[in-house]
Amino acid sequence: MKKMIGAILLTLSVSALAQEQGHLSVQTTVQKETVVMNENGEQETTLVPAETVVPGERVIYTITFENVSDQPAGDVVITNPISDNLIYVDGSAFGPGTDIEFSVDGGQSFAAANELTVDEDGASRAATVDDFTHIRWVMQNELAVGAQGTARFTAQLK
Amino acid sequence: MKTATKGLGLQFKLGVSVFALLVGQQAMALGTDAGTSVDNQALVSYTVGTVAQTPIDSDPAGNSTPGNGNPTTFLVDRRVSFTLVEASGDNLPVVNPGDTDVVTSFTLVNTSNAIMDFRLTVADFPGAVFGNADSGSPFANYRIRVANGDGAGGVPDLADLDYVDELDEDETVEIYVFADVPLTAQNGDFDNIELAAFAADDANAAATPGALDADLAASAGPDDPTVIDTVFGDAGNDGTEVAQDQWEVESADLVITKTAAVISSPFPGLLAVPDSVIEYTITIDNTGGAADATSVSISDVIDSDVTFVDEAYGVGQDISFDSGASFCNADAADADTDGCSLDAGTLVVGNANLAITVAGGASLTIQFQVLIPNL
Repeated sequence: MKKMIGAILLTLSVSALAQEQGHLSVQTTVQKETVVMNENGEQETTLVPAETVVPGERVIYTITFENVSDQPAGDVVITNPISDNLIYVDGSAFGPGTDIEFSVDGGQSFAAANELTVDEDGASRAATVDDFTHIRWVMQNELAVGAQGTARFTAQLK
Repeated sequence: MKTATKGLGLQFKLGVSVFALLVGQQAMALGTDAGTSVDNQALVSYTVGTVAQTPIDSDPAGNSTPGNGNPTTFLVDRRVSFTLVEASGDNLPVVNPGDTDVVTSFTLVNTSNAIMDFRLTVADFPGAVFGNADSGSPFANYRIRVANGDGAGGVPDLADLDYVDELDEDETVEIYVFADVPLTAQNGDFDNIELAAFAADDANAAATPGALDADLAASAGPDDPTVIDTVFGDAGNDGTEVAQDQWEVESADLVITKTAAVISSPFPGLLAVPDSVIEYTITIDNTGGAADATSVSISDVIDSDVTFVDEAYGVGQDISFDSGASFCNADAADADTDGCSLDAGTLVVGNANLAITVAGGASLTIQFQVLIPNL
């Protein structure tokens, strides 16, 4: 079994070598909301690494992207599918300098959350968070050399 | 595939409404199975100049080479959640002294996001249940049984398992408690019991049923993201639930009285003198009892100074029941098999030939007559 894994890793690194490094570095981290008592005895929501996650809890994904090249990057679009095990938390998507759009058709088309509709039993209705399959952040301006951007959303584990 | 809310025709435009929907689902759904790895990976497309570049996929540690990223994952942990209630409400199982293997039942529902075993214990419960205090004289031989461990196959017998084995998510199991009622139990006694269920691991999985695994403990952080941790989401967050139930004892409560009255006398005034006839009335009173007294048999030694009056109430009618409602004949060795006999001065009313029942709340009178001989 270990040998097999080794072989797969080797294949990956060979193909990775074949691919040139791009202009952006992209990182996704996941954290969990947790409620703690602060020194004043008040409840405070803080973020901790998402290690022990059980159904009903919320996780926060943070996507960080940085222009690591010597040229500005334009038309930057971050696309993130939403896992089947997660429900997007309404209104949670966040991204400075971006327009946030959603898809209800597996990422084929995107629109603002309040413009999406779903066909159901021959009738069209407004889409809900249950319907969202993808989120994307469309940067309004180009990403300058060395500049960094952040996109974030919260989802609840089903 | 995303699951849409079908057929409700509702539109959630307000965040508040959507939140309510989510909370509803959280309470209802068992949730994603423990052990599921949830992946997330962003893809960033961009142009340099006007030339579209190969999109770059994200990585937990950052990635800038197309195709070289990895999903950001977390492992779904085990949320232990279950309920235990007694199954019959306050519709109390009523038992009689001396009954064996009397039974009552509880219902356990596994609302965890994992298959679970449950260890079970039962004990006498000294507190009140359904407003009825425990009588302090516990039944004997409490035994817990679960049909096949998971209720498949219905009501268990005493050969079944005494723990819950491999209970699926959202599955319900009936747990039965058997006991023996002591002969000393009194009418109106209550025996209160408490069943406790402890969440247990299921390392054996469904493939190897028939073994109770160790009790679960809540994982103490920091956890290993590659291992399924345990969070107690049950009432009290302790992986333990208890429920009480009760048996009520119903018993016959017989009071026997015997009175004598002179019914004929050679002199005025019904005096008990030679040649007087005395009628004995035996009353078997079960008006204080809740259960029928069955196979009642009365044995009475006739004093040697008096003579039993044969056929006092008519031909073959030596003994009168309920003031003449029926009769029987007190012959030697109950030769006529009507249930009454008179042998060597001992009168017996009720035997294998005559099963006398005194219903709960009722009474029975038996009468016979003796003569004071004129020696």
